Amino acid sequence: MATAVAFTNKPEELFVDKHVKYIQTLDTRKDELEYWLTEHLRLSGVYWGLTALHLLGHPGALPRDETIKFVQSCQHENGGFGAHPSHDAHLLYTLSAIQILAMVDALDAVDTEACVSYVRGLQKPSGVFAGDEWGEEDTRFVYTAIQTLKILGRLDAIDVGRAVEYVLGCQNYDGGFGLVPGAESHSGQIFTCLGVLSMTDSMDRLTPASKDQLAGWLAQRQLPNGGLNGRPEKLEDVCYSWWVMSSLAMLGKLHWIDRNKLVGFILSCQDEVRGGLADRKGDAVDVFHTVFGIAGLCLVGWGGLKEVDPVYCMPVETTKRLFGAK
Amino acid sequence: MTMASHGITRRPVSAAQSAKAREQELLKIEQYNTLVAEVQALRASNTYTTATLSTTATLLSQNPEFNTIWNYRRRIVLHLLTPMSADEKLKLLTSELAYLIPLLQSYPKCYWIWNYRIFLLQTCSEQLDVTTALIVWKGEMKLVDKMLGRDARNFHGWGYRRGVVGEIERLQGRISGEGGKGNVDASAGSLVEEEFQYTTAMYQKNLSNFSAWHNRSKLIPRLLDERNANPEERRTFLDGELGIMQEALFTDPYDQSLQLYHHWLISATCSPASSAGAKSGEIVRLTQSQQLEILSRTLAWMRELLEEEPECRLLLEELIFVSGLVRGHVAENNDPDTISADEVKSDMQSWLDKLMVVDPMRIGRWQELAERL
Repeated sequence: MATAVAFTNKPEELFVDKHVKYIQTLDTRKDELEYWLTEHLRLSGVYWGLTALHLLGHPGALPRDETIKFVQSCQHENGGFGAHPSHDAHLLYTLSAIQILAMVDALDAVDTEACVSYVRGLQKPSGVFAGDEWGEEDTRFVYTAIQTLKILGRLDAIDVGRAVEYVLGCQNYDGGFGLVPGAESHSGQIFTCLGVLSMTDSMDRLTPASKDQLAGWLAQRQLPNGGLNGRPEKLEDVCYSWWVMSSLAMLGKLHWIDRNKLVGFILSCQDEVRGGLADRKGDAVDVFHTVFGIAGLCLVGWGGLKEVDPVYCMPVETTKRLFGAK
Repeated sequence: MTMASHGITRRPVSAAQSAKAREQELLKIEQYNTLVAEVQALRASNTYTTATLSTTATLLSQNPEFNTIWNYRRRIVLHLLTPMSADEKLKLLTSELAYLIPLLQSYPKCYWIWNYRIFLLQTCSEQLDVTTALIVWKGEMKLVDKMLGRDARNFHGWGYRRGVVGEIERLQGRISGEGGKGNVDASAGSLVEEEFQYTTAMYQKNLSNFSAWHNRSKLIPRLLDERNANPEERRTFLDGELGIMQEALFTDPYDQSLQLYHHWLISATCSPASSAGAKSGEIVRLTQSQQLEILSRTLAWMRELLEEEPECRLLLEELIFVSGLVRGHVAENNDPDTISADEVKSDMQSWLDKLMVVDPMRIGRWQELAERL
């Protein structure tokens, strides 16, 4: 995947050390109200930060033991994980927990059987998954459920066939996928649906014509400034460097957009002084846009970064260890 | 922000916080954390009272993303509803719905508020009689109209609209089913005509509304079924939609929404059997000669438009797409009378060459399509 590319846009520098430092200091910002207001994202925040550090080549920059302890403290009796010990369990944070443990090679630190049973309990007769006990259903939760079980080697615990049928039922005439059947195509949902099809070896369920059309739609997401948007006629945003590009990677069409221009856009969103990436140039940075900007750079083969797996959004080193070489 | 934010301007590096600002920030943190601790203690002790509704409301107005507290609020509401009379239930549920309105106006993209609202409405369907529940659900349409009036592309707004319409249709169907004796008409209670008209009103305000075109495409197969449209009426309907697109694309050939909708109309009705892609709702079943007639008519006006807009990449892409369909038909047809496959191919080649020049960002795609020609 990583091929040498001649980059022609400025600024040409990725401020690796600053981004590492930025992520390391995220948990020390307890004197900012925002730190407390975002507690409901904490476990996913750890996953975003840790993934970025791995991709930047600094996997040890967060203390491993503390990380594992925090993940353990977020598991509920029902087997699911909350974003924080005092928050309810939800599939979104359950996947983050399992991804973190997969990256630090510590899956045995939690009760994985309870986790499998939590995920299995959330599948509905249509094949879709609810996010939690309250029952909101959409394709994001199909992705999180399937990846969680795939990492744990327990896809046998659920009805994979029905999950795949549900996802296929969310495909629209433009080739894209929505949150539920009938919903408008959106790059984020395209990533989750292609991810489900990839993890379940079902990509061949899409016709060559609809794959081509989808890749064409995804390529249309690139705007003249090089950035990508999530839907027609919307603004560009660094996080689509991941949702759109990982989807193009799964379709084998990364070359359908202009890599140099995308790289220029992503790099322009860095905070060159304090580290981190923002949604757009000049905006406040956050760890979510930091990881998805860096992962986007990995997909287009920016030098010095680790290879990223477009299906799992984890380093290829991790997915190779889990699933063997592809 | 430290986790995930959109469109917040970066604070300048030089803007060091004054001691006073830092002090104020710490005070805010202390107040917020005191409130969180209070609510979490109530939650841990399974306290479900009217008073906890207002305590959680205070916290949620400061942090509407705190999904665990929304879940706590659901438990409070379910607990309070249990002993209530029908009138009291309606009163509590409608006051909860009203409480959310200012929050939704301030945070229209917060999933958790929408989820909580849907929970309340579903609780209406489960705990109120069907006629009362229907009135509550119908009231939602005003909210949806307001949200989409403010932001015509709001992703949550459109998804919510489809959900609300679906439940209103279900409840109306139930009521008409109860009135009659058996043989319930599948379309009893259907809002498909109204919803179709709504997409018309939305695109007439702004052609460039992909969400409206998308919804229209989803409604059309059902609309025609419920109208019991015969093949000729279906063809007339298709001609009408194609006519709207032709006119609209002459107004703005650079509009992706229009291009995508037009693309759907053509691919859903004029694809040769061998290249019929993902299944799509049926508009009309056309014979091959009818399909070729539409395709040639389309190519004719697109060529005309291309003379005015020779560098329009979307138009070039559509010309290639439509020509590709013509080519597929010619390949399937043993007796291609008037169309020359070679001519079609050479046109496609010249448009691809043009695209490589006018759309260099996607040159990889155009080169690949050229190789496959």
